[in-house]
Amino acid sequence: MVRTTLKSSVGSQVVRLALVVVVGILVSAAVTRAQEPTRAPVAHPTVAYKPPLTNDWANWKRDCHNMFTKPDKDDIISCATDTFRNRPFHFVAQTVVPGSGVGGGGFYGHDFNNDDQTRLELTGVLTIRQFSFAQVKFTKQRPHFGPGSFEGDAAIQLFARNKQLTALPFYGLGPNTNVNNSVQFSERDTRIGITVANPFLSWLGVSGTFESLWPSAGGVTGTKVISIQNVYTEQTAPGLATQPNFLHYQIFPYIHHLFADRFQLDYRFRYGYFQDTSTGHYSFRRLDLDFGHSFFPEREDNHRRLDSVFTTRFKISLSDKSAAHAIPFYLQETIGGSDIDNEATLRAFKDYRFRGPNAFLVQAEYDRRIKGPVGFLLFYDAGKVALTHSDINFSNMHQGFGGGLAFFMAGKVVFRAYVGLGGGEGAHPYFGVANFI
Amino acid sequence: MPPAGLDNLKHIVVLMMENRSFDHMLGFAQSDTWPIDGLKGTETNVDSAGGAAQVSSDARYAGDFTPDPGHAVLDTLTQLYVDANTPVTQDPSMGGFVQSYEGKTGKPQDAHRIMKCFSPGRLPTLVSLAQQFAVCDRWFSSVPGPTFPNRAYAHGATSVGRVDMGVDWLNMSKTLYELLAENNLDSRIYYHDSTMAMTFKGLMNQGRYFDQIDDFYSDCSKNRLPVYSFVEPRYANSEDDSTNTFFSASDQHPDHNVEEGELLIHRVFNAVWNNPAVRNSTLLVVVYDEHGGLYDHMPPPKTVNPDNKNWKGSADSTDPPFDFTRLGVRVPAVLISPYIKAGTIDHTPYDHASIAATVCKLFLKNVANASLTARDRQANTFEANITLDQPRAVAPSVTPLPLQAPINDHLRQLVRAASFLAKQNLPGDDLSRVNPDEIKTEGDASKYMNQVHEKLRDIANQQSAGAAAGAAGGRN
Repeated sequence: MVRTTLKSSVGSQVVRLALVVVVGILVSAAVTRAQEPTRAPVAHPTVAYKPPLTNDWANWKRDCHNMFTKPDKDDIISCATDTFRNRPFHFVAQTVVPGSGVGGGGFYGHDFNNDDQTRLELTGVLTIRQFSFAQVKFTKQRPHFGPGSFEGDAAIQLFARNKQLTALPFYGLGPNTNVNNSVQFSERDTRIGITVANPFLSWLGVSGTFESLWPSAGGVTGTKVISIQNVYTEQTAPGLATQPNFLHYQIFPYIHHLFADRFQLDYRFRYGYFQDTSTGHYSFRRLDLDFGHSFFPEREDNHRRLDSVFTTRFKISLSDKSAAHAIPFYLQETIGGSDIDNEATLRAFKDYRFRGPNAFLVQAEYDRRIKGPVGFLLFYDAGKVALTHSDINFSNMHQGFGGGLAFFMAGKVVFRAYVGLGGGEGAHPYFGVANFI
Repeated sequence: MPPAGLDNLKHIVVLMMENRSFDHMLGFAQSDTWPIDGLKGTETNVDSAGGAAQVSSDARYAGDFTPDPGHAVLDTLTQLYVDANTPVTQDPSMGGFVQSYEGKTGKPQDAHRIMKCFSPGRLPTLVSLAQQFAVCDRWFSSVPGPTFPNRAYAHGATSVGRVDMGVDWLNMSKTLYELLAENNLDSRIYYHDSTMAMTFKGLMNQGRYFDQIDDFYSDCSKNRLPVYSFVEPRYANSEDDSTNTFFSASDQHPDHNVEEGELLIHRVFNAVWNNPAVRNSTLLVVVYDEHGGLYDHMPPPKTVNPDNKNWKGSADSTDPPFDFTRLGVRVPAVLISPYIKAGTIDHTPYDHASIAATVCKLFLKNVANASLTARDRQANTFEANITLDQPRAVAPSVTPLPLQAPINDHLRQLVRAASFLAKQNLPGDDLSRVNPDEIKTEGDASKYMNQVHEKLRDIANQQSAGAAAGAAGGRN
């Protein structure tokens, strides 16, 4: 073993270095558990060598060619990995919104050559139900600004996205709608905007978004469905007659912290203003208060068990408008199944089952690994939508419960399959892959 | 009798970063007062057209390495031998880095970027930790290949004969975590977004081996670290749409922002250092899994096959057969403990199996034949760097990023020295007119010193080129 230390004088450095080298050689020779010593590089070969192309495109062609010519497990995994992870282009498989069906498309990403993390990303998806999604994002990230040393970046993101939602169910507005009276509507959600985010403290991040919306909502065609205009009017579905452009301003503080290794809180507060840029008739404000808590009841080796977690969520969404104004139905909150952002809400009910300007949701869930990667989950949901703020209370809430299988890796749930029951509207299955990477 | 620092050692924490070679990160920090085996500045590789590419100290935090340099076995053996089919029994030339990168860029000139290395001022955290504790300048990756086989060696002193980047590592053999658990010692993998160990058959169903990164910081603050901790960086840039939170990968894998990794290293160091009870009982190892295709001048030595499992090659793979008897390219490795003398430079050859070897030697000393494979049985151990009987009383000055910290006296002197050099050698340049006392932050100081350094290097290169041309003219 040879070790030298920082030296102050050149003379003593040479002497000590020589001494250490000699001793080191002797010691190294005596040590039985020693790797081969290093040697100086040999001379470079003089013949220039043309290496084979090994870029992502070349690898993809080779791996997928192998899969089709003589497939085995490794070939299939390699081809799939290349197909869905390569840069700058890869294929994607995803839905657009709940109920849109599975879809496929492509992703292109370009990293710019500078000192920041700056990238351009384009995504396009088309589903089997002809829902589509196209998005362009330009993101510039830097380590956060401000004191402290913690995760999360300061970021500026410019975005443009368009969702074509060809047929979404609408059951009417308010808490007392009938599941059998559903109609269908189509929606286009087009927006361009900018988001600025910065985590100011280890437990506090704040972001702001300014965007311009060009929404469109209307009927659907087809003999097997009832289109929205056949049943609803501007009075019963505000915004059906005309869809103005909006400017949307939003501020979003996010608080998160782990206490005593057992309690974790995730509080999300969102305050936004939708400004109708034509007549102002559809302008409104919205406040979302979303309180999430996780409790880890079990410990192992004096550490919390990640695969035994009890979570609760308490969310209130309140909208506010002037007396003569109206809130467009397509911008109102939904609960039931999963919402437009794919967040689980009232899981014993269909997707988008209840829609209203105000919403209230309480959820509790327990996830526990049992054997191997397999575990279970149990949940209880209660919630309601309301036409007025005063109707946001615990009375007459829709309720449901359910359970199913959860699959864990490294202590975290990566896949869930469950059934929601007890809502009086049948059983509702769900399968979902957790976004764990 | 061992030093008191060894007696007090109760925890080893390994933070394993991604894909940067020793010379790329630390090579240009070599100096008369810090004589690591780094770069002279004259090292070259040639491209396929015969053009010479010389090492340079102008690497940027991001943007130099798109497309990602090759680091599969084919690529790495090309980098070592130029011809990847050369038997690994032969000594490497380290002459094929540029030509290997041509396989990605398609253009010889573009591939010259692979010789870019960092100026030390750009990596204040890594460099200051290396200088104020122990740097190992002969720590090699375990396999001349990519991430997963090398990380497998860090976890289990073998890659079970694999050299691939397949996502499924179910067939991994017994790991250090299982060996410790058999002897009633606890261990943890703390991760941000993923860890390959989650697919190891012996670990994947055991929540007890995994925790999230927040738990690491909490365990440090509460002096509750297990005997052995392995910290994974964040591997992917990501956005959480539900919280509008943007995360950058902190693994330093090209072309991810190296600053983010500097922040992570600083954060992990602080977590250990700020609790005196943890600081005085912990050896923190910051090491990189493999070189990522980036240049290093030191040939990796021979080694032993860990378990008689070889990569036999396959018609489906471009990787040639490999018997695991040659280590991979050298990587940065820093050992941190208050019982380590500042400025320690350890020239001992190590590879990732040295982690298991050291842990077994220190914590399973009463267990007969405690080891995982033949590789860790013969690997050198690094605990001998802990030489002090008393923890160092003075807290080290580890420079953090972001570089908004006010400039300290030492740095002020360096800036003044750079200003003096600029005035002497760059009389007409704006740099010579900068008042060094107006530079207020470490970031600005680093930037200024880099600019002076680069200008002086350009002048030196021009002078040497002129001298060479003159000599050639004289011969004609």
